[in-house]
Amino acid sequence: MILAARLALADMRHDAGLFAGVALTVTAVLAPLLLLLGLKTGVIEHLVGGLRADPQVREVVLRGHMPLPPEWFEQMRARPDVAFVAPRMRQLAQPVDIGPAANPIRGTNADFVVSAPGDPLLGAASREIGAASIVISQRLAQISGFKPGDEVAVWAIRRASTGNQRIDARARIAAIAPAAATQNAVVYGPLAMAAALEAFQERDAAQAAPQGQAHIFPSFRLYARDITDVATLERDLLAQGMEIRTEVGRIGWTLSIDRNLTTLFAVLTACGAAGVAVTLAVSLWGNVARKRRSLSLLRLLGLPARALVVFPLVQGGLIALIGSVLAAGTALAVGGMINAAYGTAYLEGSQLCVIAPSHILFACAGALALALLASLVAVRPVLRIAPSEGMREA
Amino acid sequence: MTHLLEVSRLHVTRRAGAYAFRLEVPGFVLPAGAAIALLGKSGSGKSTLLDLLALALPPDGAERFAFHPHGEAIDLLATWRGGAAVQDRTRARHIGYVLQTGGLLPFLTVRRNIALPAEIAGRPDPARVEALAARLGVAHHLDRMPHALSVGERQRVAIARALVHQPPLVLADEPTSALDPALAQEVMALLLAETQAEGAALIVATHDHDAAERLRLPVIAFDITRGEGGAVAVARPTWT
Repeated sequence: MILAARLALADMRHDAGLFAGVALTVTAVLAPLLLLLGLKTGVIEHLVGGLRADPQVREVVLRGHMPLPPEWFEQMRARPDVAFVAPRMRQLAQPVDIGPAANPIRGTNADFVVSAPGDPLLGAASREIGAASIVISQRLAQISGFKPGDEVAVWAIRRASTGNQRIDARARIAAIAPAAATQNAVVYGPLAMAAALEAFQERDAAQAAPQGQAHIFPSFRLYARDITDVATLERDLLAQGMEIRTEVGRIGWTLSIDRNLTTLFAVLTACGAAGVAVTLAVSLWGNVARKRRSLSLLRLLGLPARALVVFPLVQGGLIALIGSVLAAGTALAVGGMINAAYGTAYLEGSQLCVIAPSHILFACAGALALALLASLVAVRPVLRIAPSEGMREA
Repeated sequence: MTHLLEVSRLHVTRRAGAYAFRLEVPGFVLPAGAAIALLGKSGSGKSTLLDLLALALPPDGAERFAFHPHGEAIDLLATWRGGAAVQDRTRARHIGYVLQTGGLLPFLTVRRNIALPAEIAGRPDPARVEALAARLGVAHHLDRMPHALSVGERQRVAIARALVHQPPLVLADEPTSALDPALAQEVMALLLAETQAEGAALIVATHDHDAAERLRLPVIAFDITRGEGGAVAVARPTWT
């Protein structure tokens, strides 16, 4: 076997020009395919990556309001396609004031939004939210001058016949929210804090809510686990009689582009693979046919038929390997040029052509598999070569 | 004593359409180290007999078709029932071949061509390759490709290749037919001298009556009777 492989290599060296031509054919098919895959990956990664990076794309927004008991939130939280759900105390904004804890006289107006660890809108900052720690938006940080670590008071005002009354909550600013979260002045805090402020504002101090009565919320803030989960969530919530607004159209458009491009690429790959397979099969078969005299001589000299089978296998494998390595090199070089020329201009700095190592591995493995498959075409004639043919000229 | 080759009542029929060619070998024995010629015109059956001996053509039957290389006993008829492995092994270890022309592999250097049978037999011996090449006068060509050599030089390389694995039997099929008469004489003499120097038996198929006579080779002659739809050739040793 090893001897046969060495002979196959010697034959390739002897006919180097011919085999180089076949390898270049493999390159000619594989390199554009790799580039195309790189471009597709680059564009889709940019589009889908953009969608995935923005949590608001995954948000499911309730239009209007609806009485929602805590059990509803529990149910939603339990769903695997829900990344995060939090109640809203009011249909619209819940206004509060925020001021320094040491001197809570003059405050800055802000909206209070219920949040909790795991809130995709806040990202890593959400982990800091606790019973007495809050996150503030960048806008609020700008206006108020508060920094992480500052001790603050958050209060709500109630107008009564006896004059304005207020309730204070003490908190520490744990983090600043990402800029993309909102452009408004917002305090992100725990549900208990929001509920306490809200309860004070809504009710007369005299008739405080009875202890233990479950709160009914008018609205929610909800994020799907993934962009692909938005459609199902929308459907289910619509079925509950809610009016829902989502980005499902934009998501669907992007995903369908991804799907269509993937299909297109699969079709092109299939065409290319068929071309490579036929080219390899024909050239390997042709080589075996031309080398029939030599191969039969080897049989006459006592080389077993099964060892000769190695001949087309080794040659096919090596052609595929050389061809795909050249293709990878070409695609990487041209892809680099494309990125240098167009990448920054069209995709805001992200790469237009992304050729991953896995793509190259896939291309090499695919070409190798095709080559071995194609060389099987040459195996049958090799097995039929008789030692007697080696005795004389054909 | 046991002979290297014992043949009796060996026969085979080859058909090409309606035409049938039958070869009968009533019998002969070949002692170890002996040299004989299969002498006959083209189509006389000498190539068919050589193919039978080379395990390249299955005989239809034989009373005895025994080969005793290196003290082994191989029933050549039985190898056709035993599967290719025994035949491959027999060809690789016990037989050397010198062919008409182009018996060299074009993609291997002279050195690797000569070394090939020894490698196939699993007994590579680079020093012997060089020694044989020197004896046959092709040492300076060892690292060239066969196409760079003259036809006569190629046949010298072929002789070296036939002997490299020290086979007890060398089969040569018209080894000089592509050469001019002077060169043919020289190569034939060299073939005989080298096989005898190596102690190998030689069976050479040739149409060159003079060469067989000149080298005093015992001859197996072919008597052909042509009839309707075919021919029968009988191969008989002319020695007694």
